[in-house]
Amino acid sequence: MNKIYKGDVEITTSNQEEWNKKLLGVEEITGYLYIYSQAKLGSLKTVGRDLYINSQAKLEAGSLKTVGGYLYINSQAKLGSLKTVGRYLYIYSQTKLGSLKTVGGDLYINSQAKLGSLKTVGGNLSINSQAKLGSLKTVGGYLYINSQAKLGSLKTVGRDLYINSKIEPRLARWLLLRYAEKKKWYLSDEANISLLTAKLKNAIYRIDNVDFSYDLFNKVRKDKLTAEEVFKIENLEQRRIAYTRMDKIKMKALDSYKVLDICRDDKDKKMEILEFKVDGYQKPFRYLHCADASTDREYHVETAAFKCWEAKNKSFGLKDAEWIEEW
Amino acid sequence: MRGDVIMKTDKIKVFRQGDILYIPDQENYSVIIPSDLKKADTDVIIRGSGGHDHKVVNCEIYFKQSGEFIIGYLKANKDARVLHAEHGNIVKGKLLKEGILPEGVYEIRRQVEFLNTDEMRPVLD
Repeated sequence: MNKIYKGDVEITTSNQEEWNKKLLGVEEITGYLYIYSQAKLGSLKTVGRDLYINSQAKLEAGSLKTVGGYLYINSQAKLGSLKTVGRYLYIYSQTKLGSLKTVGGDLYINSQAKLGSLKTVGGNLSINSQAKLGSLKTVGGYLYINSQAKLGSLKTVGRDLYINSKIEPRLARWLLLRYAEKKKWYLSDEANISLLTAKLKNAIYRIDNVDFSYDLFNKVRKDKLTAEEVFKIENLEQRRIAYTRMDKIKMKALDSYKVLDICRDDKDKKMEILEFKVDGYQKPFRYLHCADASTDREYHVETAAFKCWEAKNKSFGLKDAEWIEEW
Repeated sequence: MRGDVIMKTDKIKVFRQGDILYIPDQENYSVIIPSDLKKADTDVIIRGSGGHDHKVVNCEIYFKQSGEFIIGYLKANKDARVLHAEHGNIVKGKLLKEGILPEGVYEIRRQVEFLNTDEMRPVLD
């Protein structure tokens, strides 16, 4: 007869001895199992709801076959027999789940993971760290690939494709063959050239999470724009990325290029006013070159002002201001 | 140099989150929410690209239909915060970054660019 513990279990440093004794021989916990400390649960086969393994914890549950709810792995876990996770699986720590066959919900891989037997992910699959998923056949939802992944057996993806990293050439070919016209694609400049040059009809092209038209995407990623063309980009974020990717030697090609003013803002970040001329325009072009308070990203904001602070204030319609806080 | 401390106290005090500016009601700059504006049924000030919205918590938003800089008003209640994916302080366990706004009434402004053609254009992102 199965030995069942009815209810939730939370194992901490202060109660770990008590729980390890109490759960000796227990094969099923009907509720949640939270591990904040060390636990050896050698007989445990089923957790009815979520299993949470904290970053400082260690769990040995070599017989565990089923987690009914969510499974969070933030630390060392020996779960060599686990076959099914009913809902989401989050992996934040190096893990080997060699027997796992099914994840009912989403699967997030944020640390090296070996999931050699996994066949089905019911929801979305998000790969943010090296992952070996050699047996995976089905992803029910979206597929997000942000890191190297081995998905040699993949047969079906239910929803859109997000490729932000180089994937195996064979996988890229297979995805193109099967889904070129059937799916919406989101491709970053880090994706395989074969995907970027496939002229997909239903694709969004991104660099550093900013969307671009296909033409501009290619010009930016190949650094084919002149400095003048970079400054003419209307979208500030696209302009920022194009400038970041541009070889700065091109700035020397700007006609009558000058720095009119340099100073530091309240966060001690450099600001400057740049000016240059463009053929066909009577007036010179002027930009406030500044850094974002939170991210340090460099922006060029077009201005008519000659001084940095004047340009910054005027961009919000102010003559002068005391910048209490900037984020 | 930006002037001395005495000069600073005469300036309008402002809070900025990326391309959005919040000007509180203060001694030398009066902010009153126009009575004809209706409270908006949203917590989003402006939608940014890539889903990077400017959101608020514990606030009421009143949008203004036209204007070059001023896009609306904000009534910040207790524990008011402005949220964004990139602009703000990192808060452990939360996806969005945060800035804290003191309780009060604010004018909301949007950053613009002054173009070579003598036109103005809201910052596009």
